[in-house]
Amino acid sequence: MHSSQLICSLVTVLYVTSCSDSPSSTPVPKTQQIWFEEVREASGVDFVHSLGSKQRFWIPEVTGSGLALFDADGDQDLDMFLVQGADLIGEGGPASSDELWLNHGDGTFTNATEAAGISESSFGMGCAVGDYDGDGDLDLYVTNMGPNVLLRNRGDATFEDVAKEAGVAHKSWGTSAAFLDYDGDGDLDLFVTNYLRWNSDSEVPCKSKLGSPDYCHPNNYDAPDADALFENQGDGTFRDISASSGVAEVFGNGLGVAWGDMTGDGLIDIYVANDGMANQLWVNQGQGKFQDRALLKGCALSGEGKAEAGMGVIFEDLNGDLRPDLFVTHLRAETNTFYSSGRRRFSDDTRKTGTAQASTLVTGFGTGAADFDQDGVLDIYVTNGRVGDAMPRFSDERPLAEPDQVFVGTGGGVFEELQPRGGIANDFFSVGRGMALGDIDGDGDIDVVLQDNSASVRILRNVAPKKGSWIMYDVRTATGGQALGARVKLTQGDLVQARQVQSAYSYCSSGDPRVHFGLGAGSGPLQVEVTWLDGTQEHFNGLAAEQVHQLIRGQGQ
Amino acid sequence: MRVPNLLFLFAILLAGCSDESQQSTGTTGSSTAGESSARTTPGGVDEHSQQEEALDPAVQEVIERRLRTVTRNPSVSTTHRSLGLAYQANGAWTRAIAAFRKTLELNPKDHAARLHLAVCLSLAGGNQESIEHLEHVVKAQPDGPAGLYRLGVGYLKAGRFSEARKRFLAVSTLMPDNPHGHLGLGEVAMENGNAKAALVHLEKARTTGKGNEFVDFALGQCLAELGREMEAMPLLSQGADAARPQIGDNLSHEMSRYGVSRSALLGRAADLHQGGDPASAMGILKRLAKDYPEDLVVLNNLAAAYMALKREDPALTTLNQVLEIKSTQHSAWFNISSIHFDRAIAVIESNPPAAQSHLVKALAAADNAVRHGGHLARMHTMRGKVLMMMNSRAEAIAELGESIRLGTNNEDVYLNSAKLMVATQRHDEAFRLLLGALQKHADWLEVRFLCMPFFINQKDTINARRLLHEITNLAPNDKRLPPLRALLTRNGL
Repeated sequence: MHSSQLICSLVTVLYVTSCSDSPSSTPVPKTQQIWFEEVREASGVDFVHSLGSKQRFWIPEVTGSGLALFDADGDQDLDMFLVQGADLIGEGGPASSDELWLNHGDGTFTNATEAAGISESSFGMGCAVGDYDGDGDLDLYVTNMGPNVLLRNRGDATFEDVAKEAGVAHKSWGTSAAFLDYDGDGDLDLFVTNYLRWNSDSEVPCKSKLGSPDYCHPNNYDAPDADALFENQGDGTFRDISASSGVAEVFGNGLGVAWGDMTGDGLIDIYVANDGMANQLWVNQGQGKFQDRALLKGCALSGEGKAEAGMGVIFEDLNGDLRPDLFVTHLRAETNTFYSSGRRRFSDDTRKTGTAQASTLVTGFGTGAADFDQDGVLDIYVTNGRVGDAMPRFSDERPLAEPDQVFVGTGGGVFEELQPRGGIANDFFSVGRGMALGDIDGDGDIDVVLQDNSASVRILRNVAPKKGSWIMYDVRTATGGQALGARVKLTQGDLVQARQVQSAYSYCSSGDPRVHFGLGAGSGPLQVEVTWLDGTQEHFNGLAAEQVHQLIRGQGQ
Repeated sequence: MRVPNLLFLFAILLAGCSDESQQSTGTTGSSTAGESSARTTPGGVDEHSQQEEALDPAVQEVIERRLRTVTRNPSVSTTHRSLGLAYQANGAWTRAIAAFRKTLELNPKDHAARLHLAVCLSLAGGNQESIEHLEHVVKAQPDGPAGLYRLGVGYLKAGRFSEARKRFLAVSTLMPDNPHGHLGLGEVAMENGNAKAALVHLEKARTTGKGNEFVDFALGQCLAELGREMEAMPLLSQGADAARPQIGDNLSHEMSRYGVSRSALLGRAADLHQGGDPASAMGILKRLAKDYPEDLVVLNNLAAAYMALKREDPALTTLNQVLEIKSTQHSAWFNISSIHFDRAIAVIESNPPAAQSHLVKALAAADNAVRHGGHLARMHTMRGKVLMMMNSRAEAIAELGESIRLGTNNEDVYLNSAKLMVATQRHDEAFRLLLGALQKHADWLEVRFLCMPFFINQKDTINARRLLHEITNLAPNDKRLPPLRALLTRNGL
């Protein structure tokens, strides 16, 4: 370990230990700043998430949907794919389609759904983005209630559904999905998280504590599903290896997924957040085999041994020790849980983070970490929204709506909740579900887009007062594809930060995999070390701040 | 031969689940127990919304009795305290908080009421205020273990570890033969990253609190942190979803009398059933079933109580009621299959045709159990057992194999599967299966006995002797040991 890192880690340890009494004994003033403003109207995006005309209190109604931020047309800005709901039994007229919105480069968008040939009108849940066929453009995998679809990008932002031909028209109730190269063979495999084996006949009537009809907890159905893993065969088709890999051996109410090397053995592992059941950590054994080791590795349950209602997931170094941690959003009255990675396993360090109390007030879904104020420390955004009515409500018009939350990183894995809640000036209540992060207006900071169940999409422009400069890296393989899973370590003087190139995090969503760093008060040359999936390292030094740089494998030192 | 049913675990799970989860049990919409029945606002506990907190009729009756007492004696603090306890017992935290506040207004020195106010505040999300009240209680009663322990837990949850440690230390000194203080000290040590120190405390907690699964889980985490994964795994598995042990106080008994909500009664029935008193559990559940005739959790638990009491006819009636409400309830299918299977076994020698008829019914029910609960190993185990009794060996092997694939922890499944394989000349498969079981389950005795003939047959002295050593350690007084030793000697091993 570099000496400055060692000192940094020791400081972190001492800080956490010595300051552990502070959150309650000496109340810390809340961070009071406006960090976001809603710009949906100005953006031109008029997408409204819809469940059809009739509310039946069937569980799928409160679960969707997600979105993707990705460059669909190769013009170096972030376009937007918004997954649409539908009436569950096809009543109420023609269903709306998922929508593709193309960015003009400045955060304003044009609806390109029809031109793109997208007419996907199933009850949509989530999506994953990746160049599965290696042709240089980004394709979409959309999870649905019912068969999922694989939208192959023809290279001109027009798409065709090739799910059946590719062998991934998976029929379960898919939620979050992820493209990942688990076997390191250079092409993208696909992991699909499934929720319940549900159909309308399996519904049961549930009521709120107030006696009104309400949504049931998933365990009421007692029908958890197994997840699915598809191996890319390199010819545009996939092979379902769910059974042979071991992934189909364990069932869960799967909602969120994240992946990366979670055990330090150089292999890609997969973490699944389950709703009301133990989470799974699929540890890669090599040779296409996985074993669920979540219980042993400390990330199946809360620190007190409780199975929580896992929704969204972050896998990122949130406490600055250069080891990626897990952050999982949960139901109201549970904490969002911070699983800090240790030498052997994860441990529930939620109590140390300062986020516990605030997160018990709301139900978290989509989540992501970014350095919104560019101070060199990651912050966390959580979009919230209930899954059942309860008193008191934040909004009588929309009983499930809740405010979002921003947890401002103060270093060492300690956070303060930003006030006003969500860092937005006016009351901002939504039934938040999918959420993705990316710089949609090209100004170098990270914006937020989220899906509000049964309402308009929310687009939040980052207006946070900045505490430093920024730099962004577009990390690519030697053949030009996104180097998903590569790790980037940035050093500037004493400031050392690490990130993973990833798009699959949050809930049912896909974010921009370009790696953004805030530079805080740091000064001096920027040294970048990229660790590729196969463990080899390359350095890209001396790149200027306030720019996006492409780091292509083989072109560094 | 009956497969133990797990329905009571189901009841416990639902009785203790969170606010929004509670809706899931709510075909009645009346659950009130559980930590997260909290009604909170972003600022903390909201008492203004209490009039909207629905109470089920049984609770309402108890509350009205207490309210009448309060009306008659409005200035007597203990009447408000009893009202608070009645609310607390049924999970109506915000109303309980208001009642306890009133108690303290009339008698600020009622430390017992203050303790309960703190507990309710903590459950309703007001941990900081809860801590302040507990500090008050501990100041007034520095040797009261219940207050000290609660305060320690409050500090622990707030991340104030050194203060938590001080209180747990005091508890462990006051109550060295109870697990609470040792557990807390272990938890603090774990939070401080000192697993070695934690191990000492948690082992003490386990010694003093045998059978406490929360302690087991904490110890499992500690062992895993120390890299002792084999020892950790069973503790982690059995400790999942266990409740933190609490120290009772002088109001605990009074409070328990008031717990009449659906979830409180379900919890009590579960405790009774697990404590070996299914008859009392049945009494409670029958009353609940009258009030909630379509509540699947209640009905399933009632059926389980009947089954434990060998009252198979009312059990079948109740299970069929369940299936009329929801035909996909795999637990009900499972239990029906189990009842018919037991009936078949009972008459298999005296009346083979009747046994066959029961087996056909058992198989039909097991088919449905697997169809609707195919993700659960025990459903496949049940179907495999029935098939085995019906002599459908190949199908039984496949079904038991599915149970094994899904991670069954039932040794019989491996034994039966291996025996069937041997009977169908699939010796190699049987041996591989048993070897796998040996590696996974160091405490399984019968599998070891069954594996021995394979080693003897292969003249594998090393493994035969190792197995003999393991069997001797597991069951030194087993009557089969001397003949087994003789057998090994006879075979030159």
